[in-house]
Amino acid sequence: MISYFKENTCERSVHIQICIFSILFIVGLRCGDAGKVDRAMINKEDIRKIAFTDIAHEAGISVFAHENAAEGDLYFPEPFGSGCAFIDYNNDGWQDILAVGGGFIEEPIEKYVPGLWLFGNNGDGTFTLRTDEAGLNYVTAYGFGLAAADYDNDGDEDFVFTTLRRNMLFRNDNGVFKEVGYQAGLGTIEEWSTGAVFVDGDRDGWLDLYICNYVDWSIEIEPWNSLDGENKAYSMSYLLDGIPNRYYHNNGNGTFSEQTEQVGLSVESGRSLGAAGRDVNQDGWMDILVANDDERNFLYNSNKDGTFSELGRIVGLAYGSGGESASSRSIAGGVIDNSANVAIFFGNISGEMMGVFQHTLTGWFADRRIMSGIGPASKDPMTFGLALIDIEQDGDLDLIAANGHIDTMRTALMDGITYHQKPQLFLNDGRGIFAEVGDDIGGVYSEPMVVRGLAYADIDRDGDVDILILENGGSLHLWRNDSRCGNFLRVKLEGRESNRQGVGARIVAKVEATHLERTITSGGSYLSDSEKTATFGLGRANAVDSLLIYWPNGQVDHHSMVEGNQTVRLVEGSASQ
Amino acid sequence: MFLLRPGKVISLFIFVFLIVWACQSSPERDSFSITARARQTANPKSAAFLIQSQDALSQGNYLWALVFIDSAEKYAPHLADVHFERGNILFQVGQVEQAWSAYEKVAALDPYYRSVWFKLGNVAFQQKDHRKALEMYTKELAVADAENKALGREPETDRYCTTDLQLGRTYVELGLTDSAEMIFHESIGLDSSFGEAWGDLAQLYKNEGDFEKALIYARKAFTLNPKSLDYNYLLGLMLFRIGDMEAAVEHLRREVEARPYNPGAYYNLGRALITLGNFSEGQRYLDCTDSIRTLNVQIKLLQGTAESYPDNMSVWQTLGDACYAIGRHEEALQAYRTVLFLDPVNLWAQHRMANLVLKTGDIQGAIHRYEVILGLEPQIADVWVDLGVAHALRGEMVEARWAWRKAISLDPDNVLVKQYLERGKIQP
Repeated sequence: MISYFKENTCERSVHIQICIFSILFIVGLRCGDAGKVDRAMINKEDIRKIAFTDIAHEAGISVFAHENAAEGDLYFPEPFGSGCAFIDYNNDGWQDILAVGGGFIEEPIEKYVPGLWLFGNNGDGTFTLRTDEAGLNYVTAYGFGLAAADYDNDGDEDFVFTTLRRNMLFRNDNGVFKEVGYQAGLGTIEEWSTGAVFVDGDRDGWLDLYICNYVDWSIEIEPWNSLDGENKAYSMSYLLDGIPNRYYHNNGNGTFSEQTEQVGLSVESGRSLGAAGRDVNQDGWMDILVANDDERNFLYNSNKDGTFSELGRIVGLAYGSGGESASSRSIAGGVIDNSANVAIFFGNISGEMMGVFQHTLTGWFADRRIMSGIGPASKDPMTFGLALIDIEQDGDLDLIAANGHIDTMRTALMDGITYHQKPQLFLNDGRGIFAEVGDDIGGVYSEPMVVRGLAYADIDRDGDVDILILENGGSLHLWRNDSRCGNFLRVKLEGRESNRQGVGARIVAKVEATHLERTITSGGSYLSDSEKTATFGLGRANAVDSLLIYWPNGQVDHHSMVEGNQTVRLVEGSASQ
Repeated sequence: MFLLRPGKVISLFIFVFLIVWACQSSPERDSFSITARARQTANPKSAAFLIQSQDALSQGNYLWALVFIDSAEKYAPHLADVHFERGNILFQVGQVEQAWSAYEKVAALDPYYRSVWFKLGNVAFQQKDHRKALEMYTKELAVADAENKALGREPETDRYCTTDLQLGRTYVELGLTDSAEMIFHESIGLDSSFGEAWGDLAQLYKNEGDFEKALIYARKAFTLNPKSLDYNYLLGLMLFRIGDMEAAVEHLRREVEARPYNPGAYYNLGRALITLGNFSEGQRYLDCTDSIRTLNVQIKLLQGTAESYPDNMSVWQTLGDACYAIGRHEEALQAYRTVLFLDPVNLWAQHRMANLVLKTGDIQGAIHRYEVILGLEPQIADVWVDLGVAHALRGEMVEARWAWRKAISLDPDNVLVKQYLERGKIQP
């Protein structure tokens, strides 16, 4: 007989929150998401304006090749890598490309494979390989993820590199990186780490670090799994034990202290693949979302004192509304309609719809998979790269999902599911209702791939957002956004009391009656990180009437009548002109 | 065991009578009685074997069912009934491609054979070829229409409703929810007491987010079928969604008790209890959700593998055990039966099935099965143990102790049996 009950302690703060939620829940349910599903109202003319061009070759990044070490052994880690990031490593104002090269799993390694590739943006549409001069040429590791941020507040962007064994922290010293993981307090633990995110958990102005861990794996304990009882197949995550994630508090002196248990981030293992920082309830404190494979997803809600409480199941984010399973691997979040409520998206495996949850005023999350229009179209693909971007610059956030399966043996048995899968673009009609338009656009959206990492940035400083994609065992793709778009405003922040890049800051723009909102974030997507500049599409409007910056430390700045079609740099504490 | 018993002789006479009656056809009915004519000229032995096959199938003896069908076919190779029955057997043991071939033969012999297109639709649905399923179900309706028109009779409600239901479900799979909605409403129009249609509409509206409407239809489905666990659960879910927690808890508790492997029930029950202020109990149910969900995921993967490799016995064995462990007894039974179909003398599967039969409360049936196994192989200690347990459950302690002593003689270190013998009773 299954043993149903186990010991469970109840934190007082959690209990109080539960009580509050409970009182409001019934009202929230009735108001939250009743009503028949609507179809997205997307103008065909708008779709025709959208165009992307893969410029990987002309940009000079087609030399990249991801090495997944797939040589017939079917080791479990092989299909999972890797991530990519945009980072302005030399502070010249142009977004550079950082990509994880993969490697070999078995040691000793007989052949050199660059663990990291750094392509410097020349500012003319081309990139140059700068791995060596940036001090990254010696890195050999079977790597997975990247998260970039200025953790030491010295004005240049650093990054953490998660691997199958020891994670690395690279401190940027004027365009040259030095690996300081051990000295910084990340230790020498060897465990399979995946997604990572920088977030200021205690609002002390220094970015803390949360690293996801997946499963306890080594060649020696690689499970023998088979689909036909005879031949080995790739393993499944549930055959291996999950490893707890880790939280490192930034001491403000270039070092970190692990405080996972102390801050309530649990030793519960979730087989985590992705993490993102978001202030989901807009209380001014960053929360942490975790996408787990074969386990429920986590929401670590800030207790406003540097500690957290896991509330995913209670607030309805852990599963679908019917308790449906989710094997999540990626996260995106943002405000997708005029309600100002944050929506969270989880990329899931084939056979599972993408998770779409929208925060409600009651504190609960409404399951919006179906009503958003995203659910059914997302069921077949296995989604890794995931991002909310205003593609057409009409103000609302659209969703791009980059897909690809992990196992050709399984796809051979699955009707309608392929190994290479097309990316998807879901256009938002402004009401938080989406329509998948990839087939209508064609071009890069009609090319099936095996995508893992996805990051975005304005690489050519033309005001629209471009996209970087990395394929497992394949190449990098750089999609330049050539859409005929509306006006824009780009906002770059510089913190003074808050962390230097303003990671965690919420930026709210009012354009007439429309509420637009962006958050400067680290992490998210799958194993990847994007630029730290917010892009607002303004449509036909030439200016933003009002711009509110909610800084991570609590400061709120207000700027009026900000002209469009420019990038503004806003310093914390600066007042409206 | 399978010799004709008196009851079966009577059945055979009835069958022959029906054949004679069917011969009295009118010109309008001729085109719908290809099989009826074939029955007239068929060797009567085929009918006998056909009945025995159906009998064996109803008892879950798939191999014997096929053996009898082979015999029936030998005497009447062109009788559609034979191939139809073969298709039914093969479909039940997961041999869907062969089932399709069998049904195709039926359709070739008699395109108007009742339900053949429906069965073909079911095979296509199972194989997730939904367009094909749509085609087949539509054909079944067309055949039914033609038949009714030719015979000048009213539509048979049951046949139309059942086909409409499957048609609607196929539309749902294809994402054509408007068409599905229309079809479900049509079947309700034919028979307002057709609970499945109410239930499927409730599900459809739930998926569309129209929870108020879904609740109305779920209530109706449950009223028509109060014993249905599916409708009970659906109603519980809808009550939860609209915020009627106390009512929701009642239905969700029933689901958790009846189907302890449903993670959604635990999840929503937990949340409902927390909302009502019962935090500790609610949290316990939430905690259960994870472990049960993981087990179900494993089962789903195994089911997929079994569908892809239907001849692989080890996959079916593993699937059976996984289902058994979580309480999905019907599915476990089906998996074990498939193992026996693939390997009729598989004593492991026989043992598992006997244990399942015992779990369902059929002690006599279980004892009979244990004795059959031991008759074939008397050296299996575990079977002696379980035989002893079965006797003990009936209070037959002499027999129980005898069986346990046999077990101990084969497995002297068996601690559990020693405890049984010492205490003279079993633990609940």
